[in-house]
Amino acid sequence: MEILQTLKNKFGEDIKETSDSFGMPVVVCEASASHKIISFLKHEPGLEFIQLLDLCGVDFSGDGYGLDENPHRFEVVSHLYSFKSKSRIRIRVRLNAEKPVCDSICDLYKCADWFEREAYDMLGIEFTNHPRLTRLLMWPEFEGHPLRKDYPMRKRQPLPETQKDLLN
Amino acid sequence: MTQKTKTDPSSRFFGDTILTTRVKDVINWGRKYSLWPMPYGTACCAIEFMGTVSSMFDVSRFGAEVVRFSPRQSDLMLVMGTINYKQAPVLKKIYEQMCEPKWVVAVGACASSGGFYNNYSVVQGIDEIIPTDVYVPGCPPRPEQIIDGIIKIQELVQSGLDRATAKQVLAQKQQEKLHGNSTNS
Repeated sequence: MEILQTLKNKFGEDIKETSDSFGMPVVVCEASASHKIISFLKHEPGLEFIQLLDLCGVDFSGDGYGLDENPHRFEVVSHLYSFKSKSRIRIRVRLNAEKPVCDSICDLYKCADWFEREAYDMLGIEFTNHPRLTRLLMWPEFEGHPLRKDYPMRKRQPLPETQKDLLN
Repeated sequence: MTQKTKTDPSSRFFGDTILTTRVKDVINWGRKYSLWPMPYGTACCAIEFMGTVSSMFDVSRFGAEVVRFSPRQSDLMLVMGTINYKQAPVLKKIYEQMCEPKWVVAVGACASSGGFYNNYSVVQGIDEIIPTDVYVPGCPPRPEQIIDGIIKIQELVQSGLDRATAKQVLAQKQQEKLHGNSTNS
């Protein structure tokens, strides 16, 4: 895959893994390098991945590891699309298992806003430089992050007091 | 409703042209045959309610066909469907907007207990938020079951009892139904 070689040449050690998933190039990188790689993919003439198709957080605990044992427990997975080459690319950003923090790509793709808020809401992944990192789906009084694998299944939540937040 | 007996002295003069009763019984009798339901439908149970109102089952046979979509004009709230936490304040507010006297039916498994949505976002039964008089089982319940729920409300209205007392009386009745009345045996 030509594009993977291009990225390897450009970023070297920052690219941790590359692979081919059913014909889609996959790049794995650390949180520190994610923003510059995605920025490169968007702005480099010839690549021009100008559309963000999807962005989501993933909790990999229990995936061959015990809970809290996976050093790469959290990942942020983005899919980009290029109208130039009519092709997609997947970027998997590995995060710290203790404190998952990732650079926001809202400055590159406006539509990343709600995707990142959802990932924050559901998995507790923090996005630095996000314009308004608050819960998207759950209400402000909600405790914890429900899609984390260690969220207690039968945990009950405090009832929301007000819907005022929706009016802002 | 009527308290007329053969020993009633008035019948000697007026025959059967006069009924004697109590005012509160007449009022409750009127109320139970003119319930104005307010459907709070969020899921498939509300579709069953459409069937209940329509000609096949026809809830107007029980005097409850004047469906109002304003809580201020209704006295029977039918909560049909899954109620999640974010909707809880809305449901509560709408219930509070209804004028007294008012009754609430939890239609279907979700409204009664959360149903199979035992998860982080769904309220496990509307009785966590608002007082509830009758629970209709089913997922979704058939129209006959919804009508049965309305008949249960009618019994409650006619009895004129408050919720707590009615609950005790109904529980006792249920016990007698299941295990037989010990005083009769």
